[in-house]
Amino acid sequence: MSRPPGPWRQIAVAVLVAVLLAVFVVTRHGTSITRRLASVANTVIVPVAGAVGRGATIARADLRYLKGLEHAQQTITLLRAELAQARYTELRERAAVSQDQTLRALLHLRQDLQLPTVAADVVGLSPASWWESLELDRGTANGVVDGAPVIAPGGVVGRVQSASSHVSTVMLLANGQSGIGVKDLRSGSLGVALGNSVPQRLTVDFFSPTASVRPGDELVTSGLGGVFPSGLAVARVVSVGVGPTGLVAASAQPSVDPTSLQSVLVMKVPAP
Amino acid sequence: MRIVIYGALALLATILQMGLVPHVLVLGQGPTLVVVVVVAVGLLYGPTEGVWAGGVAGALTDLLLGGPWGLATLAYMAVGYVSGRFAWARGRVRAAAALVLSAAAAAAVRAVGIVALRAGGGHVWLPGLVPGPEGLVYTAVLTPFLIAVLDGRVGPSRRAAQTHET
Repeated sequence: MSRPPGPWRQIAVAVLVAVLLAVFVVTRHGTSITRRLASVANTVIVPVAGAVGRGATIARADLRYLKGLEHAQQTITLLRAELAQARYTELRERAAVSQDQTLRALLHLRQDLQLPTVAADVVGLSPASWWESLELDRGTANGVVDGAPVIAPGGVVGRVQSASSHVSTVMLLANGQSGIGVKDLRSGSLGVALGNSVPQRLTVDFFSPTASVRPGDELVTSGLGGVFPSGLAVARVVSVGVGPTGLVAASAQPSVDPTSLQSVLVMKVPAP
Repeated sequence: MRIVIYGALALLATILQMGLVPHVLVLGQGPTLVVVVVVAVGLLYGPTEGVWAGGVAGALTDLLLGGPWGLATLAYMAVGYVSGRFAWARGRVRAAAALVLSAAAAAAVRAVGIVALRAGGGHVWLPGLVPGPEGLVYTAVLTPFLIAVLDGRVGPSRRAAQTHET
């Protein structure tokens, strides 16, 4: 329990209150002493309070600056996201443009050939043997048969090796089992371009010992085999030499790079 | 010793009142920090300490104002005493009680300030010492936080309870 204040304490409190009230009454209009003391006290306190106020002003400015930084950071993050989105959109548009160009080229090729063809997309390319075969998304259900020539706007791609109902495998020119009749576009010399399982490289054996072949010559289909129409680009001569039979032989690079193919045309030929 | 401590607290509150409060106004009103200090001390340490704190803080206020002496001293002593009595009566301090008590104390100081203005003529109180309704709320909200700082927590005051038991 709290101890109640004793009489002396009550008297002291009463006296204190009375004194304070008396002081208030005496100084109610202010006196020179109160004003002087207030002036001295304010001389000490006002600069300190001013410093605190300046500190608060600086802190608020810093806070505002930090908020601005935070806002800028958020804006940067937003802009980065927008930039990534724009890059993605640009990439898709470029891919669409590329596909559009490929399809236009295929359309022109089809119109130039004036032969029945089937357009097919490349859906498979083996990383280990990309120069030997690739997969198409068209098969016998679409009119694709074994042995059908496959061409692209850049030239001859190869021949259909096997076709199932909806997928077919194409044997590329560099495949070790591939052979195609060619003609030197400049000199008209005839030969056969054979694949030898070397990436993007063909061996061309010419039929004549006096065949005129130079590095850089364009080789096109001769049309002699009856499978490919004549005049389609096949390869470009890289080097010329003499083969084991004593005839002119050349090394050539296929005109079509299978790694950059998106779509091709498969020529419709009668089933074997 | 406690005169020095309460004097330092009141001085700090006055300096912050003059320097900091004008920068943290809400709806154009600031808290009355001296009231916050006196109420917090009264609630935490009882009526005697409340009266001491109020007396020192009031005397400092009177000194700084340069007007009539004694009224602010009396007002703050009364605030400290009532706060201390409240703590004694309840035995424990809750945040809600601190809110109500400090708002009432700020309103009382406001009334005394008005009296002083009329009685003294030309008597000027410190900025924020005569708060409007928003200032009362601001003052009330700050008191529990000061109690938490002084006592380490908001809620039952062990010191007030111990004082009450003895």
